[in-house]
Amino acid sequence: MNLAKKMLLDINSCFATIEQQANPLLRGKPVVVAAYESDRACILAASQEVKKLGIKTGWKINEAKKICPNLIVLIPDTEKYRFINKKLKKILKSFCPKVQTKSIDEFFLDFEGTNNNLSETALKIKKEIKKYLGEWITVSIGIGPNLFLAKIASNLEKPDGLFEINENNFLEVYKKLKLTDLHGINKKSAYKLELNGIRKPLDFYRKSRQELRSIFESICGDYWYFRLRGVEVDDKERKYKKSFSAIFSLKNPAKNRVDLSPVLFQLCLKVGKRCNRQRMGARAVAWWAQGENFNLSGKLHKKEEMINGWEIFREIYPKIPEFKNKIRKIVIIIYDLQKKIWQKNMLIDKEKFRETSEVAEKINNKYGMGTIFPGTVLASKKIPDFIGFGNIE
Amino acid sequence: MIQKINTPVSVMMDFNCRQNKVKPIQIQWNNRDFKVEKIGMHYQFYKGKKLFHIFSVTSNGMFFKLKLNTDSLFWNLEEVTDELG
Repeated sequence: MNLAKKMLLDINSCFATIEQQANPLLRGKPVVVAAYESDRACILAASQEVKKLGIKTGWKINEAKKICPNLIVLIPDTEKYRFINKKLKKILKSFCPKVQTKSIDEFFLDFEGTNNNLSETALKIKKEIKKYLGEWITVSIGIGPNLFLAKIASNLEKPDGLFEINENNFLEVYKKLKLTDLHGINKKSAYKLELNGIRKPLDFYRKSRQELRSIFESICGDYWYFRLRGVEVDDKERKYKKSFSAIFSLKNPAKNRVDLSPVLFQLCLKVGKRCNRQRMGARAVAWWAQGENFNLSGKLHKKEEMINGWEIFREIYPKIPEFKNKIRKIVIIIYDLQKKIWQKNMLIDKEKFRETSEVAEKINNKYGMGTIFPGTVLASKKIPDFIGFGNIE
Repeated sequence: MIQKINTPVSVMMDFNCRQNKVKPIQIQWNNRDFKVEKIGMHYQFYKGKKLFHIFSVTSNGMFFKLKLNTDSLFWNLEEVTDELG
């Protein structure tokens, strides 16, 4: 097994802890951060006090209030969380040159090629966090020979934990864990593994590369073989993504297309912006909307790439049919990404639209999202900024 | 109770050039003076080209979220929390 030179750092109960750091009156109280303040909203982060009661992220507020009637519900303050994320990255960069932001509350540090004692470094990092971010914010740090084992280690001691998985203790760790404790193994995959005689991570580890390849019927079997032996197979900074998606759950359900338009526009801008960062345009877009007892979906394929969120919105909005039931959730996915080539278009209207939308995009980037928006969304209210838990790079 | 306020507020500020620290030290709100006891968090963000500073402070068992607009140098009281259950 390789030396344990990878570190994964995770902010405990991220949004809730940050809120408790900012507002000392909330410390020691049952606090949750939810998508919005209504009873149907989903919990995004729960403080340690709430977690002790068995309430977990993903629960609905009304379910949580049955167990904890005095629950304090806050809505996300995105600027605060982004600030902490950036500040924490700055602290981590002073310890390790190779820091990757895995999500809003998770960082991966690669110490390969250095002589640092990682346990000592982790303690120093914790001290710096207390000094510069605040005394209430705690992190769990996992150290391992690869990203996968570092992630497992970070989950073993929570909150404020520090755990190292190395060649001396990895078998002991595998003995104690369940299959679903392994990052990337859900209940369905665990069932499939059990059918093949793998009941525990230790059984998983003992399978040969050939056996795993035949179980997974793909190269994924080989990846699992190496992952469990501490070989790095996950630390691939993919240069170009193949698709981008964005999702939004509405506080007040959309009753018609006009109600849905600002959310749809915001989602289009979001995926368009991410796509633009890698200088690409999308040729295809798919959407899916969930209503009360009905779903709406569709996709669109173009010969020429859509160069920004405005163009995506312009293409898909007319394709969304009128609906009578209320829509609660909408998802947008753009794919078939191509290098952005702005060819002069023969259609003067389209050319004008592209030029205008590129300028509008620049103005929105400078003066804030929603400074300029299409007339179609004028009839509706502005929607709030939102933050994702996934990869934010 | 947490209340969203969003009203202009008078704030007394202290700048210590030796420690390179700037902090609000007193707030005047509702004809009452509140001496800042603790700063829970200080962060800043841009909205367009305007830079805002947020100070989350406590005083006398209450919490105040103060926003400084660096363009106008005006202070706003965004949120107040008094006793929580």
